[in-house]
Amino acid sequence: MSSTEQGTSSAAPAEPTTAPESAAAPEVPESFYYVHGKDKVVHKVSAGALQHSALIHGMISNLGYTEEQAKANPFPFENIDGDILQMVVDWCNQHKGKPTPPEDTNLPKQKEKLFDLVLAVNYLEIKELLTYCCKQVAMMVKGKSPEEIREIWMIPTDAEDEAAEKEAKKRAGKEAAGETAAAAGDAK
Amino acid sequence: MKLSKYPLLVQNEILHNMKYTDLFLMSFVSKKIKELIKSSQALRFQSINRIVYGFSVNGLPVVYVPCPGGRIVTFVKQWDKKGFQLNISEKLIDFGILESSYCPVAFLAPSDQESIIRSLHDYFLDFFGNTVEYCWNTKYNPDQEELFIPQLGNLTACSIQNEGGYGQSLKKSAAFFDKAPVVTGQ
Repeated sequence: MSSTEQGTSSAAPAEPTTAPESAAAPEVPESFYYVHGKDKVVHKVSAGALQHSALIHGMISNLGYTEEQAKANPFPFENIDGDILQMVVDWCNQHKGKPTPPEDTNLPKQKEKLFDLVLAVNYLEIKELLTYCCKQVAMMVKGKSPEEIREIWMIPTDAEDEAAEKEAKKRAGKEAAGETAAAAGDAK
Repeated sequence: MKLSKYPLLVQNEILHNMKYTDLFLMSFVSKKIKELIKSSQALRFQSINRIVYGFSVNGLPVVYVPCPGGRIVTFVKQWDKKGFQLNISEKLIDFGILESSYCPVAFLAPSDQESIIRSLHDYFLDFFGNTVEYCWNTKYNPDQEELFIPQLGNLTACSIQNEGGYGQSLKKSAAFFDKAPVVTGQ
């Protein structure tokens, strides 16, 4: 993946309007980290962009990797599909160091992609993106009848809930009986 | 997309981003879902000071939380589009969805309006919690025989918009409040 970090201008302004001490402050080189998903494709992401993810930010702070160590040890996210991780990385890059807007219209429209994105974002603890995604999921049922909501979010009926509960009780009873029988066998 | 596959925190965040009207309709999907909404949105519901029975800008009776996007349900006396029935507090009520605002409309049969409103109101008391106060706004018109103000639980305020015949409306409202001492006139 090509790094999409925004370039920072190194040229000093002709007539600085900021305080002299801030203009004289040395620029700290940006550090980069590497992540990969299920598809093992490695993405290079700046520490600034990764700040959106509380999980990765915590990992970075705790590990204290050098650039070489970071390159040699990409963070593996085997539970996230490659295309979903790409979306997350793109979002983090786009919103690096910027205040997040109240709406985000670039989220996937397909239900299954959005579903996977929500799970990934929740796992990576990217609060703002999670809020956008949840808003979009909530919009899916705007102005829908209860039956339509049930279909969209695959919610079981009361009868199905009751049957599942009975089944779970039955299974738990069988497992408990099996354990008792096994314990009795061991005692013999 | 299966809602139950999401962690509870995510489910809560989704519900938190839904309007009252959508939560109201969703609560009819199943008993479990109703309980999930009530428990996850308890703080949000507790912050509702009042629910108003009033009128929309186009004059239709409407129930709303006084906040932007707070409309819960609109009442209509005629509905010839596609609809659905909901069993609300043991009463079957016909509903539809207004395409312009995505808001549910309840068909209010003139002969049965008091029992329909009472059933809906009982449902609101259970769903939003009994700490919410209710306000009944009505219009008085001298051609009307009676002022229609149903006696509902937690109804703490009432406003009567006068459309002529001020003395008549005062007399009728005074007679109403005399009969219903639990309702406070404002």
